[in-house]
Amino acid sequence: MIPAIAAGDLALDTARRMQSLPAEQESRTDEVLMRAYGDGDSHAFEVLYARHKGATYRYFLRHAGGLAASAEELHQDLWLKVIGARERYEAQAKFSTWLYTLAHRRMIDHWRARDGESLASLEDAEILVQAEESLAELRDGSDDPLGASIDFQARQRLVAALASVPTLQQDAFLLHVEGGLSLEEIAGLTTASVETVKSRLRYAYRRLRAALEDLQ
Amino acid sequence: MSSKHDREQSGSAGEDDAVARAWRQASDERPPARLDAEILAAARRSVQQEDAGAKTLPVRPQARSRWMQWQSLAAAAAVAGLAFVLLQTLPREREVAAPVRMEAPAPVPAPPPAQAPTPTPDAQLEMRSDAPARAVTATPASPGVGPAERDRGTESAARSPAAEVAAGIADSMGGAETDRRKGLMTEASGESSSAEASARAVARVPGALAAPSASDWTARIKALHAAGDVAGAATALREFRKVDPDADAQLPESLHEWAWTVE
Repeated sequence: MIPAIAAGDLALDTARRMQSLPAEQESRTDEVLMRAYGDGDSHAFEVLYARHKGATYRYFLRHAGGLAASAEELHQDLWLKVIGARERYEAQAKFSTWLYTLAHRRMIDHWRARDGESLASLEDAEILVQAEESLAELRDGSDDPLGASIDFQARQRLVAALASVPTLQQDAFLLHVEGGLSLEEIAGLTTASVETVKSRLRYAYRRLRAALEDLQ
Repeated sequence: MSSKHDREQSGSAGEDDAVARAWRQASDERPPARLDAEILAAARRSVQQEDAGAKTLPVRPQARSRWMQWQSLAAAAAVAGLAFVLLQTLPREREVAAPVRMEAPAPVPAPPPAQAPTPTPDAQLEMRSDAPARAVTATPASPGVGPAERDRGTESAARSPAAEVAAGIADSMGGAETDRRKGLMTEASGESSSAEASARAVARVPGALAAPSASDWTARIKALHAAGDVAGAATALREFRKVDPDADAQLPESLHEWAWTVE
């Protein structure tokens, strides 16, 4: 039997140990850490989790429209899946690609369960928004709207702007910015062409840029 | 047009980087510590469970392998049992079939009821050896022996004369004496396959039997004498005299002169 540990104590314990983790462990790649965890090294998982927990949490948080409860549930599901797959993990691809593939699939399941939405309906919405963006692009000027610094109001505006972006564009943006995935990697895990991903990203960036322009 | 497009592209890329940078500055939420603790606890639990499983693994596979061993042993035992049953069944069928085959010629030599318990010395001798038997059967002193039995006796002699004599006599005997006679016959067959040894063994048999008739005695003495066993014939004659004081008179004339020489 594993002794029950209070969540707070465990968090403190984890934080202390995270601080004392050797630099050698910190410098190991994600793939090496995941394999080490598969071999029973739970400290390797702590390093891995510390690296990716913020990005995966935000990925779910944005998709959940800022609802922390949903994001936490999705985030926990994802990492429990990673834990469950530790013995089967094979470093055939980058760990982050594998991680966000799991996250993306979990997100699709969430959409289906929530609204009965299918990918086709999401793509239809995307087409409509792309058409609107194309028209807006014709109207927009080309001067740089972004300042050097981002204040709190700008942050709130950016988050709200991304929430207004269609789901698939939002997904591509989050995978790109939060997950750090390349266009090809995003195309692979979303089963879309690189051009499609590029297009989705372009429109997402434009929407965010427009949000920031409004602050000027 | 293309230069404008390129400029837009490069400008767009720079703008995208700025947006991404702004986004990273704006978006810095992290999961609550409680959630981190739950996930890390789950991760550790998974490793500990595996360790615990690894500790118990040597037991589980052993138990499984033991069960597998028992299964194979049980299967082997079942097969062996079936084989044993089959082997037990098949020989019985042969044993049953053999008597039927052997008994087929048996009704032919069935002796008359009066002589059934004690086979005549003629018959015994006839089965014992070819040459003397033919000599004896040439005489009409053995009414109970038919040609069929003679044939059978000849066949038996060809295989193992003494054993066949013993078997033939044992077959024709019944009651409590059977075992003893069989023993005697076996002893006779063990001594030698010669006619004399067999005759001696046979000569002892009537003494052990109940009340041979006078004709039996005479036939026996005659057979022993004809076989060249004069001493045996003399012994038989003496025994015959004890049973019947008129024994000499009942002997054939050819033996009268010899009988006078026997004290």
